[in-house]
Amino acid sequence: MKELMEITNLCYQGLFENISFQIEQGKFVTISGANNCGKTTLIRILSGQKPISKTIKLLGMYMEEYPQILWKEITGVIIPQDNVTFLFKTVEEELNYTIHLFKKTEEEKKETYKEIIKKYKLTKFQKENPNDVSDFIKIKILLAEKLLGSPQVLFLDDICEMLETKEKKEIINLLRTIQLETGISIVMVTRDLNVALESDYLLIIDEKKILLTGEPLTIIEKDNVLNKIGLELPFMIDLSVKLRDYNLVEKTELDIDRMVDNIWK
Amino acid sequence: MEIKLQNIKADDWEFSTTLSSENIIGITGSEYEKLLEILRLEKLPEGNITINETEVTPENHLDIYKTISIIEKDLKKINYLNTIKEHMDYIINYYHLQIKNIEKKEKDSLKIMGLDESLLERNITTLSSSERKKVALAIGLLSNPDIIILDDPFKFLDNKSRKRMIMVLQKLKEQFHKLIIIGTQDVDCLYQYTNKMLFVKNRRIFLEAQTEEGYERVDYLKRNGFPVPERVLFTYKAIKKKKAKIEYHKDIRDIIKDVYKHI
Repeated sequence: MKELMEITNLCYQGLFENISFQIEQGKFVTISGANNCGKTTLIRILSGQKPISKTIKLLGMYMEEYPQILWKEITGVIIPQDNVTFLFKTVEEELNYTIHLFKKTEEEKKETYKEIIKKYKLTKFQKENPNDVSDFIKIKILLAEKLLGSPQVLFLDDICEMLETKEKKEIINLLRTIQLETGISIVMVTRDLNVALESDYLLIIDEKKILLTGEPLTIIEKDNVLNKIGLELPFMIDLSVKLRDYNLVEKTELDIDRMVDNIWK
Repeated sequence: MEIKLQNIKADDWEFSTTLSSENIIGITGSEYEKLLEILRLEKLPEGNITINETEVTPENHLDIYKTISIIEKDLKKINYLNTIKEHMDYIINYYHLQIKNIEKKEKDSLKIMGLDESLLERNITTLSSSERKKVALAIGLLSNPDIIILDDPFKFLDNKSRKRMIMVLQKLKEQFHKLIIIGTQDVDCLYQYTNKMLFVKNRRIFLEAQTEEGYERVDYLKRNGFPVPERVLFTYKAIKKKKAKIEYHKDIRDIIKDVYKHI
């Protein structure tokens, strides 16, 4: 496994104290923690919005050693609360402008536009004003635009928080598809452990430090630790853990039907 | 506190309902935001509205409108204002609120939400998402409204903050008889924290029921595109598929106890 990022002894304004961790290439990594633990700040730091020297390495090189243009080419970042305003009056014009920056021939441009519309399910919204559509559609437009430059890593603030359950699932599936196709690494912070559960690797921050790291399911099953810091377990995991305490089931089950079958054999 | 809405017509919506502060009221469905907007009474809709036996007329409309506070999904920065204090001062002036000790009132409103008073001097743009949610309610409470309409109040909040938020809302309802209306698509929060539900669809109130009873109509809700909380689905399937004699519970510990007894 190849290492994408290495963070060594990160300290930041009393918010983080000597945090160190690595991010593997091609993985979908989530970072979670209670309110005000610094999730958004961490994304800003990792994506270079708040530059810190001699601390963060990307592909073996410190972030401050990258020419800015190169850094922007290999990283992408989406932070919804920064309230992006789209420049164009329709989704079509908006996307085509970004496509124009990355593709040369007319044919390529047309083909790319068609692909994006299909992949991101934007057919119905082509003529709408991107500033007036739902958060869900906005996130999809932002993702499509950020990925046009084929970055190696995508940093996401909690893009799922504003979405409904169904929409969250669609976004996660979309990220997974993109990851398979391009091998991109994704680093996302989220409050929602249902979202974290879908990732490859999970880090939990608490009290300025990294409290837990590992495979998401293993981490999320630690109900006592997580409840104590104020995080809520996904219902089916909470149910599994508690039923196990009563020796009513043996293993964690995320599917409701199978869970019912396991209990009432 | 009670608001009676009869034969209301506004923007293709048609409905009648009575909302009272005996319940914390939840509103859900993909069009819920529009209903919140109508209930805010910024414009007087067609139909009869009485609040605590007083009929709302074009003459008293403005006074009544000022007793309703809507807590928006995200706290918006007012253009030329920067700090939380400036925003609070603005609201106090706007509503001509008679407050003896303004600074104390402002600090107290933050304290209720579990926030530190030092936040007063912070710029709204420097707050975290969860702080903005809490400050929004703190500001909304300054005018001492009778009706508090909250758009997605639990978003961005972790479990601890959610519990604090619901504790504050319950206190407002029980001790001060405020009418609390929560609009959201978050089924888990609605199921756990509200007592009465309005399910809206096709510009009308599709189903009005006590929260537990409403959500127990699993087939009906699913058929009509309303999501159902997983904890309800689990119990529903245990009863339907396995004839288990368990009941519906809001608290997971009660579900576990019930399963333990009936296995």
